[in-house]
Amino acid sequence: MKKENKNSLGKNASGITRKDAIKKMGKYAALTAVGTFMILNPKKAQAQSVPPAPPGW
Amino acid sequence: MICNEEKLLVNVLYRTESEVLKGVDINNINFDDLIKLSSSHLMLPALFSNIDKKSLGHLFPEDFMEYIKNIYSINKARNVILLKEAKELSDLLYKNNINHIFLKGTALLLSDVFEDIGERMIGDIDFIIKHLDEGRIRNLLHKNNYYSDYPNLFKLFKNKHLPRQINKNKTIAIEPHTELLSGVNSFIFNSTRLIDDFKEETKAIKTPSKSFLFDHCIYALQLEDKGFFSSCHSHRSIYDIYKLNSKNSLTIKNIKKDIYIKHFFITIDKFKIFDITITTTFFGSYYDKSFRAVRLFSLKVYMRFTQIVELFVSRKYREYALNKIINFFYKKTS
Repeated sequence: MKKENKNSLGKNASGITRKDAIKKMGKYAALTAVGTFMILNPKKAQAQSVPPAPPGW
Repeated sequence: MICNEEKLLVNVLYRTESEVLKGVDINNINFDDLIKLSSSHLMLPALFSNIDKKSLGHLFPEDFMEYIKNIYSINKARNVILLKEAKELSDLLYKNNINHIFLKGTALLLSDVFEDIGERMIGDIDFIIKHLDEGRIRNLLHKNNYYSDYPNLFKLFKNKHLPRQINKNKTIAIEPHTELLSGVNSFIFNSTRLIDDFKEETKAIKTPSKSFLFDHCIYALQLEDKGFFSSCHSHRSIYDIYKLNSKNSLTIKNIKKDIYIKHFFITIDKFKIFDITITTTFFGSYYDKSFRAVRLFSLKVYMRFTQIVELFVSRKYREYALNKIINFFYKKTS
């Protein structure tokens, strides 16, 4: 599990780490609610097509 | 108690330039918290738009302004695409004789409620069709390469919309509604008022009236997003109401004041945005509280009941529930 996390923080196909990406966007990116990015990134927003969780779960 | 950052957000969004610093200690503003707060309400683009329009940039750090300007620009570009895709979708539906009316954020943009199309964040294109057209729209969307990743779970009550539809060649997902609110909530607010709009034969882009959009915005927040039970507020909804009202198309003082609309305005009364007084008598507020408690209780009973029924009748739901349980224990142990 730990190894997996390390990999996900590592470089992706474009050769940029998550840390670098946040640095590039400024410190505020890390503070921005995920919902904002979900809407702004169309592919991600489309991919988030998880059904609204059945009530109570 | 309203925090300093929320006071500033409210002042920037709803008050004039000269009143922006009213009650705000600008030297003690934590701009990190302002980003967290505004983004959690999906209000970063609106914040930038208002700062820019009211020439308040000098009150904010440079990197802060640069960041929210970027978010605003991306959102504006996305909304331009959204309007284009909504028009294309409308053409496709009319070509196939499916009458439809756009709803929510898309309807607000199409009705020119916002002077600046970049300030409203919109997730998908919502529109409503007649119940009778449900089968036809499923086929049409399928033919036009729309698909959905949603598992088709059994529902005791019919869903208010078809599963969210994606098209690889389009940027924005679409959500075809057959009703406005789900389950029992549709007894409180439903599409009956849209019948006349549906009867209209013109093949132009249709949006509901301003007063309908006003009601839909409040009932959706109060009932679908459970604002009625949690008393939470949403600045995106408040801003929609503010914009709908500021075009003078509504006289907010004359709106119908049922328990849900009253509760919306009572929850946000602390911000002093609207010139509206909701007077609550002792018995009135006692009744409101009891009503809310009964509604919350019946909602919980209803939820558990539907879960139990679904566990018995739907294999997909059993798989879904099992996955949830496995994930829960997996997270606990890792």
